[in-house]
Amino acid sequence: MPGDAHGESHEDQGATTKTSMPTHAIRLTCFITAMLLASSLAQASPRPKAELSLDQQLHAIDPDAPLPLIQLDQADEDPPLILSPNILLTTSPAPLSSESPDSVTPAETPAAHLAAPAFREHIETTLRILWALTAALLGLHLAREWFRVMRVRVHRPARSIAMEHAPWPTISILIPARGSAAAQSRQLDALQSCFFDYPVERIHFVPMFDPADTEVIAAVARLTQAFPERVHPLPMMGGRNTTLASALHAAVATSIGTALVVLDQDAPLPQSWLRQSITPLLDPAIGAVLSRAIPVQTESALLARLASLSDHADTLIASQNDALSLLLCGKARIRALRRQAVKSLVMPDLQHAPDGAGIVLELTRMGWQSQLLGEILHCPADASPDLIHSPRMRMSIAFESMRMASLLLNPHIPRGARLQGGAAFFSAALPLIWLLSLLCGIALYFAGSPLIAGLAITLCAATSFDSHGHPAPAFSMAAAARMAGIRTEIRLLPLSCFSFVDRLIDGVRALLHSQPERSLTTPHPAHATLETQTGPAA
Amino acid sequence: MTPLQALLAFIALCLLCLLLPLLPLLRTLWRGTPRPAPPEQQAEASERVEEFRRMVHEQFAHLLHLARDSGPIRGANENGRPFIVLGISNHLAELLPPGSRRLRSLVLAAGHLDIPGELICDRELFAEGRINVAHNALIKSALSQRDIAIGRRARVTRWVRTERRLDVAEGGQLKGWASAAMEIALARRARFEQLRAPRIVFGRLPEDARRPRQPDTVARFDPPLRRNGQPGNGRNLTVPAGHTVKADLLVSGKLVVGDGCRIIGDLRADKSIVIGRDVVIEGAAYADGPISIGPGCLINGPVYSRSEVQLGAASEIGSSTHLSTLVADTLLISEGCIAHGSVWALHHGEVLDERSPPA
Repeated sequence: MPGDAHGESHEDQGATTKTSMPTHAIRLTCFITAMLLASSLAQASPRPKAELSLDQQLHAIDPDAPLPLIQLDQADEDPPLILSPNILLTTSPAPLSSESPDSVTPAETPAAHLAAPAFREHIETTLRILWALTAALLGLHLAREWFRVMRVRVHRPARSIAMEHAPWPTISILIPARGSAAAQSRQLDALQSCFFDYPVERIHFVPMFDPADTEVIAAVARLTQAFPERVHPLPMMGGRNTTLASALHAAVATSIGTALVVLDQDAPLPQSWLRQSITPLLDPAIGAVLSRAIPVQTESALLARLASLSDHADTLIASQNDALSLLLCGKARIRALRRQAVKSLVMPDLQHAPDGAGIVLELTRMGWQSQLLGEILHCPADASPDLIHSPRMRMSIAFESMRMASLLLNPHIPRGARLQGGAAFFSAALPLIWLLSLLCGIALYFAGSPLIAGLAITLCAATSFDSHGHPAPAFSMAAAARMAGIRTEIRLLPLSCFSFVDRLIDGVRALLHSQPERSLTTPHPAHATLETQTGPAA
Repeated sequence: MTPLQALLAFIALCLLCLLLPLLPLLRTLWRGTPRPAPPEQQAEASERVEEFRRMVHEQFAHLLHLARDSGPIRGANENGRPFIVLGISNHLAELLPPGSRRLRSLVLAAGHLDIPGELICDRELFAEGRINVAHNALIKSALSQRDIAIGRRARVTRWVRTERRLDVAEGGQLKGWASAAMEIALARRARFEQLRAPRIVFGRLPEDARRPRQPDTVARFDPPLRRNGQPGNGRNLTVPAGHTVKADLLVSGKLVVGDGCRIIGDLRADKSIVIGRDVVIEGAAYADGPISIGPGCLINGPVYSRSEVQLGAASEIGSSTHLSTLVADTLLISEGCIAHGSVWALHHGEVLDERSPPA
């Protein structure tokens, strides 16, 4: 009703006059702080009972009579400063009626007119409380990220260390079978002339190949001839050795020495990669070394760079904790680690790490913890134990990982795994908190609190999503990029989603042009996801 | 402000927040030429030495041959950079104007090369004979096929490589990379960063350098029990003096090894390692915190610390047959120590003066 709107506008005008936006920065900060406190208290400056005045106007006087002209005149003379669209929707206290409130009895008030504003007020109060809680959590997360980045910068080593003289262990280099037969043959031939900054007599090769491929068999034979007694071929037979992930068991059994190096990427290797990678393994406390294998394609097309970036986004973000340790072997190593983690949880007596969860810790760093630990206790029967989905491909991962709350209280799980489960649970809950805060901000805007809504939007933008779906401040990603030495590439991360769209379009196009019988042989969606993860950059 | 204006302002704020992460993207897309590689990604010092050696061999081999007979040669290369080629019996001091303090020429000598005191050399030095750097001189890089001697308080800022022996006098500084094919000897109060040689001697060796013999009796060491009678994950561990341990000792806190112990295995501590006197460790020592090694110790494997390593007098890292590596942010090495292999001080390395130990 027009009278309601005018009455509410008077109230808003008074409040706006008291809290008008100051120009000075300090006053603005004080104002924002005061608004935060007021919103956190959630009971600050409760609105008057507008419905009572409304009822006075509606029922104490004749409904057919026109409204007093004094109200309209006052409203026209002093137009209110309107900041919110709810002004047109909310009710007004309107203490302008000349009628006495005693003339109105509560029994005359309709229940619908009483319940709706009260419900709205409860909703608004709830929204403010909810936003205060989510904002506090996001603020804590922001502060934690800030201090973490600062700490990493302070304690960052001056330079990477590759020892020159050390008791180098015997290692086995696993060469997975990927790509066409010509590509595999070329890769195996390149290894013969590859320079290794490592004692050559302590390097063994485990090439994986398809026994039906004669060209690759010839290349393996040439490699065996070049390095006699140091090549251990691993034919990928049907059954357990079908995929790379499942063949890792056999590769570990076939390998010789104390370290297994998995060449999981087609990226060109740097000069001193092997010694650089093996040096940290000399530390008894380190069980896995992840090296940088990110091809920086500064000269190629933008779409190719984005596709490559999308493939390696996990590796990029993984560098937040320790930029020195990036992924050498890609997702295959992660799958192997996950398998170890499953064993650690299913068979607690079989300890693979000193704390029982050191391997799970590595998984947590990779950002895969939500999916991994979520499937550990609720592994579907039809899924292969080597199958691992990418969190970026499955948006429902946050909800799935909420089940990991049971890890916090399950006494039968090793303590380290329990701690990691708790950490994964809270990290999975962060996207929900982010979304909740954003929704509260939008709802508060339409409920009449535009300033708090602006604060909510700003806070959500400051904790924007990274490629994992985790809220991460922009400076955190920038710090990770700087430490990883790929500052140029990581700036393209906001566009990496376009590569996904491009692949989607390509997939749809290929589907449309494919033959009907070919669609029957399309792999399982889960396997397709796996191939997408493990596939190299185009 | 009207509702429409408020709505527009709200939408503008949301758009600004959404576009904020894209601002660095525009910078990346608009920048054409990539930046030069940061210093840590540039070529290693050994590669730069080999590059310099190749350049000398290709461009100055003939001039060196001529200078042996005809005397010093001065000139400039195609880039306009001056060089001086000295014969066998020529001296650099004779070619410098009196009172000159700075030399901007590349210097190559067919014989010995003597750098006068308090001279600043901005270019590399090469000599087929011995290089003597006098006191308070500052050179950039030096390559010799014989010995190199760095005088008192003289400094090397980039790298130095010799095919035989490198001697650094008291107060000399080796910033960057120093390598010798045979031996590096540093006097007290010498500072260094990266050393590589089969034998690196710090300070004056003691006259009686015999290592005390280990007792034949092997005392068994049982770690203290924790909860439920299990060894558990103890934070700190102390090995009493005179014990022999055949295992890797991994602790999350502080690890203390008593005097005269023998450890056959690796040491790893998250906080610090304190090793007593005359300890033999047949393995490596890793710590995130400082490592303190007492006098007379022998460690066969690498020693790595992210903080500081204090090496007691007459200690030895590695052996002549098994080279090892000593890496730490700060290295404080007492006189009489010997290292075989590599010694890296990432921030600061110094040979302590035992006559006036630091507080």
